Amino acid sequence: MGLGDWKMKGRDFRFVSCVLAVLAVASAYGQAIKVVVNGEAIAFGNVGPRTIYGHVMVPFRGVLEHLGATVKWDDATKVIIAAKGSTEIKVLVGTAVAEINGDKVEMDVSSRMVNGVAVVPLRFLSEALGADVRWISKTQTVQIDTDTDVVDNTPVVPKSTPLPPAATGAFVSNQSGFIGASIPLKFTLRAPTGGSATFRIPGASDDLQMVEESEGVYSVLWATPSGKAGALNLNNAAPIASLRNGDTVTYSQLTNKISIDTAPPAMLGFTPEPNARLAGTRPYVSVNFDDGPGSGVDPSSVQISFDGLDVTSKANVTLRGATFRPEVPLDSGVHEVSVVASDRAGNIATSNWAFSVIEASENIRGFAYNGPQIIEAGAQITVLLVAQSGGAAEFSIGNRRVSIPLTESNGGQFAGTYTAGVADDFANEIIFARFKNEAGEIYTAQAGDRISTKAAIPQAPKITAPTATSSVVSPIYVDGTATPFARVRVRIDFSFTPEGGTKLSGPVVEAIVIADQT
Amino acid sequence: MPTKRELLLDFAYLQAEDQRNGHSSCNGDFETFPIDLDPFLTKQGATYVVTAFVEGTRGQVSSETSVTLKVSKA
Repeated sequence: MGLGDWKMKGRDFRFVSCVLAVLAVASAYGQAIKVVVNGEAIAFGNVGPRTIYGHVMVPFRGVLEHLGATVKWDDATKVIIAAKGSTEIKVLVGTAVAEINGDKVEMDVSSRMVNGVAVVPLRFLSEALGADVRWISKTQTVQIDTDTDVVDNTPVVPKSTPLPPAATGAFVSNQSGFIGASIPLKFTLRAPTGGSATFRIPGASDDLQMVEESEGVYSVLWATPSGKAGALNLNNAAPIASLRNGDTVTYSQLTNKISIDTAPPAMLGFTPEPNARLAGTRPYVSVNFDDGPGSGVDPSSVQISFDGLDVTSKANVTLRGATFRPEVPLDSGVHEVSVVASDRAGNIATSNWAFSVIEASENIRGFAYNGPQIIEAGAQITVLLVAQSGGAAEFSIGNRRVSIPLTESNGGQFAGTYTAGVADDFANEIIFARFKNEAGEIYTAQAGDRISTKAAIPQAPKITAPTATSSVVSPIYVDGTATPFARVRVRIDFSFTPEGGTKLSGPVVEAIVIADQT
Repeated sequence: MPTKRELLLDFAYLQAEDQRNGHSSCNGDFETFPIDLDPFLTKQGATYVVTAFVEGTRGQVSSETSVTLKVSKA
């Protein structure tokens, strides 16, 4: 079966990808997505199918039960268990982790609670339960069949293919998907001739005049911003075109989907630290990625070189960072690291740093952590540094907890502890010590083992202001409370229905804040 | 005070609440940078919905919390 075929049986991932590509477009067209299972339309109540970061998510119970599965929900563990025939699926809500007959599977996007209803990726469910899925563009419907053999040869609408305006009111851009910095875009509106058309992107641009370039075809050019002052992130941005004809104003919302991300990912937590003097010859060489509220780092884009050699294939690269450990002890002297990574919108970040491996000396003779690698809240992390007496020392757990004091207790033996809290969310963190001798020279050393906390579903934040009852004026601050250190994603969406028109909606801002720890 | 876009880029927004004069932070508090509401949308009588959730280090996410705002047109 070719990529253009519109049929999926069992776990044909290629077909499902095609379906999802068009589902995303369909969602952006502003029509509600319908799901029909074995000829029966599913009624979803208050929470229906939706796209979250480009993935179609559906309430688990409605779809699974219509697929003939029995569904159980364990509220205590937040685990969905669905069974159909010999297949058993477990989904831990709030994570991207699932199990199919005991085999762990990572979903493309985390399942989550939306207004009290658990939603899961449609793609994963269809793959797991072995159903036929097809997309009917005319009716914006996902059709799922569990016992038929259906084929639909509707063509795929790929990313970055212009969608020609075909009907009055059609409002499209010449590119779709994630858009990076300094990208020129052309927006086109098909509408009655002789009007005055304007364009704006809530949260990104003010009104721009559109030009009627041919009869009934209005267009405008707009480029995504660039540079530090132009950093902009809008997932599923919602450009609006308005057309004034006499006293009548009509509004159109972009029908293809664009997400704007003009900021490159940040690189943080370099290990060993830049210019460090390292006691030890096989360090973990590591960097963390953070794309903020943007499109996220594309792991396949990451390239790591060490002392001028490409070591990418030997490194562990994830969405959140990259780690490389030399296979053989390093020689004394300076070692250089270079990392290049881009996000899914193509914004590139580069970091170069160097550290020195020092010969054995009296400054640091040893550093150890002798506890378990997987810890729980309440566990005490104790480290011991043996170094030159009289200096000052501290240790860090990755870049999650830094500069924890080490106290000299006995002729060059420095000890320190840290008690893990419920807010700690460590993932293979490197433990390292920093030692400053009496001459002011700084040395560092790493513990041999990395540590992680057991992954837990974070507690939901509370929004304390503004409240639903307060009348707010611009600008606003969103205040709230969460677990200390929690990484909170905040999004503001708008919606309005112009007189005689259809509802317009979309984001105006998306950001990440870290809850206070003190 | 840096602009919103500067904050987004250089990640100073991670502790943006510290940018606000007189703000006294407590354990677990968070606060965003000042967010300008689009006057065009406000003029249209748009409804704004604020949504927040927590992201874990390994992709875990919490339930979403949301508030629908009553916006003054003034």
